[in-house]
Amino acid sequence: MQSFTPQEVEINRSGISLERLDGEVVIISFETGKYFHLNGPGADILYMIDQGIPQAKWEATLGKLFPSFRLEPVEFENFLLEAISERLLIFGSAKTVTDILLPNDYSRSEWTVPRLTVFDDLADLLLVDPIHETGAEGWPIAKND
Amino acid sequence: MRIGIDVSTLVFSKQLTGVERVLTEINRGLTSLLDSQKYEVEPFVTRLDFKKPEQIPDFLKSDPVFNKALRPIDSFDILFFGGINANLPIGELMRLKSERNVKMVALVHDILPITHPEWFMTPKFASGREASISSRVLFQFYLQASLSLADHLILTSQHVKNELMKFRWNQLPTISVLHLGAYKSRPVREVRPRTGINTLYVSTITIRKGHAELLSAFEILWAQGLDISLTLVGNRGWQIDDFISRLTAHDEYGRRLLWRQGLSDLEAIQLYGQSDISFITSEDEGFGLALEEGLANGVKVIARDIPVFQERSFPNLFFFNGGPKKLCEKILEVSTIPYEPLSAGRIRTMADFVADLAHILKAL
Repeated sequence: MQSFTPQEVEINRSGISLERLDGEVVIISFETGKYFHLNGPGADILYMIDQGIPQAKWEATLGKLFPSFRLEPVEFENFLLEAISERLLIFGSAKTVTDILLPNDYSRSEWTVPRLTVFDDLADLLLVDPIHETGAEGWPIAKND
Repeated sequence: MRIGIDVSTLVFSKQLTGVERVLTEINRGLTSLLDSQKYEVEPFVTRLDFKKPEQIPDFLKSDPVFNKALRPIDSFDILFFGGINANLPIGELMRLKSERNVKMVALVHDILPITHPEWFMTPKFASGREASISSRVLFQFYLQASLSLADHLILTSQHVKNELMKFRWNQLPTISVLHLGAYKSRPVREVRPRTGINTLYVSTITIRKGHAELLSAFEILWAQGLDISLTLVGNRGWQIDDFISRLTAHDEYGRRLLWRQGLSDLEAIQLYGQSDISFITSEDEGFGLALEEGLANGVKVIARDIPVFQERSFPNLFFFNGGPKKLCEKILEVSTIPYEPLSAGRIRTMADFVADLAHILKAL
């Protein structure tokens, strides 16, 4: 089990770019150059951590939005430890916020395991003009000729 | 002052379309506009394994920046990113910003893969393996990296800026909106006897460009007995198989309905010279350069009534709002309106765009 609570960590704002759009979060690490993606429950968990909501209060918020909400300790610990090891989260002062509203920016349904997807080499994917320089399949599929 | 131009996109380019065309105009313009005694404009790439091709494509052979020797990224005072390149050495660039106060300027052409993901495809790696993210998220990687690094962001329309501001993102640099422009202002009409009305639409054929609606409008006009032709100029894009089938099987195809691909600039200019009206019927654009290109080439332009086109106000520019019937009515109306001769410099050009860009670079 983790030896700390989510309240003891905070977003490493000076070391990353983090933006949320329609329930999807993209993070770019300025230190490693890696890109990260979270969606749905993962994005909401990160939001709760960022706002400093005690973990004990999460069920009240998430349970209302996700009928099948169930945060397995091991899965959550893996999520948290990965975010810490990538220095997306750093240890900081404990916060005392008790309640928040999650952004109403996507349609919530099934609860899924919060997952942090890491991308560390996008060379093949990110050099394509999204409007013209593509094959018949369209962007981001590059032309082969 | 040494200004670095990211040529990573050009290194991989095989043909002069879209972004490449803008980039080469910027390279030419900055080289001639900036005082060479004060400014050196030189190229860099963002990864060591990005190499110039052994065979330089024709359109890059005269590029005054691309053909200089690549310099290391840490040898510049200002870095300009004008292509779509998220292979950015973010750690190194952040260090250059903090330790040497290197300034960075990014040009973002549009954000359509985020605002209209339905027009784009699931990403695949070069190996053919499908990526586990959508094209929308992939594009957000690029956009977010650009916004994080840039001291100054250039957008090509207020519309794109408005869309971007709706995201309510945290890290936004200074933003300037600079409209692109026609490549050359050449309002020269070909004087020759013609019959009927000749029209033109220069655009890659993709689903968002409105070709199907345009063809439907022409079917109404032909049914009414109007002597009018439509020439589509542009390569086949994607998600467009149904329209291509409809186009090539059409009764008028090869007669009053033509499709030309792979035209040279000169051939396109000649076609404009033979035309009365050009169209730009896209459902959305970052800018939509075909609008200025049509006007600069001396035709009346009918554009869809969408925010990005409404930002422009020029003589000979007309808007339609609605489906094929409304478009049909607008074509009939515009065909009777005399062409208004343009004074020199009336249509914004790429030279105007680059001059504005140079001003921003010099002020950093």
